[in-house]
Amino acid sequence: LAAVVPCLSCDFVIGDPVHQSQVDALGPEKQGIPRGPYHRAGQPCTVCHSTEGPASTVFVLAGTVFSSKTTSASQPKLVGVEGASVGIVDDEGSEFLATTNCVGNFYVSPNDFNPAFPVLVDVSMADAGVATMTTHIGRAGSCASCHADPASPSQPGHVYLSTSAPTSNPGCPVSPVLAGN
Amino acid sequence: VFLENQCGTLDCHGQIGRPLRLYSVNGLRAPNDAGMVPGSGAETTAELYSNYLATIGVQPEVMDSVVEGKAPPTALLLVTKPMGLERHKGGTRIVLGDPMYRCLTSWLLAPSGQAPFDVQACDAAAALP
Repeated sequence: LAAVVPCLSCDFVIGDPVHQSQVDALGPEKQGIPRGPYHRAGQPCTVCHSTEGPASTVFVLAGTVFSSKTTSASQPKLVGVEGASVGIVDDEGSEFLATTNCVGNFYVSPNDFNPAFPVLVDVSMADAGVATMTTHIGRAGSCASCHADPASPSQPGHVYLSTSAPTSNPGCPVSPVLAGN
Repeated sequence: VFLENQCGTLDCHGQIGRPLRLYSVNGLRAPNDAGMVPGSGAETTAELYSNYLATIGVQPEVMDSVVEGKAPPTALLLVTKPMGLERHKGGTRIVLGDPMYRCLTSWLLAPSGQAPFDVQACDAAAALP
């Protein structure tokens, strides 16, 4: 008993089961997509990329921008958009601009910008105009913690930007097509 | 409306399971068969009424005392939490004297005749970014 009791109060040993269940719910890495800036497009990045881990890098804001929904059966439903600008203005008026990579992912390190929440966000691209969020972000660091598919009364669906620009960069190390959605 | 705009975003009180659950047009929608998702459709009477019940239901007995003029607005978590006087995961959102403070406290004090309801402050609070 003496050996067990001291550990009952060791949260750092036991861990946070709620956080762990969120991490587990994301599932394993996709085959062929290594950990790094191109992985897990569309997932809530800061579940892992927070001070709680398990990722070693921390993001204050991160997410994925997709091309517009399409009804064409020949086109995939979700394709990441490269080169979209994600503009962020925090509660103190500080501004930061992030740009999506070739799978549509963007991420903001606290070393680059540590916003005072709430923040206002818009997403823009030369041929697609500007999509401005209708509400501020109170404290969530991941777009996908609210912006998940399918759209329902509690979630508006993924972040889309209508663009006619090519959404598939042949030089991209992984496919920007998010399968399974 | 200011509570919906300032507190009811999907990552805060516009979240299922959170105390003081707030519905709004651009945030959480009440379960519906009309296909209304965040950002679409008009706010329904049921959503407005649910917001009212959520607001007065955090501390119903204390709320009674406040609107009857027997306790100050600062007796309510509804006031102390966003002011940072109690721990609030969303941080300090209301500052003494700002439009949100004036809107909320005037709404609480008006029933007992201690202050008129400050419509202008509420309009300003709802419009804040």
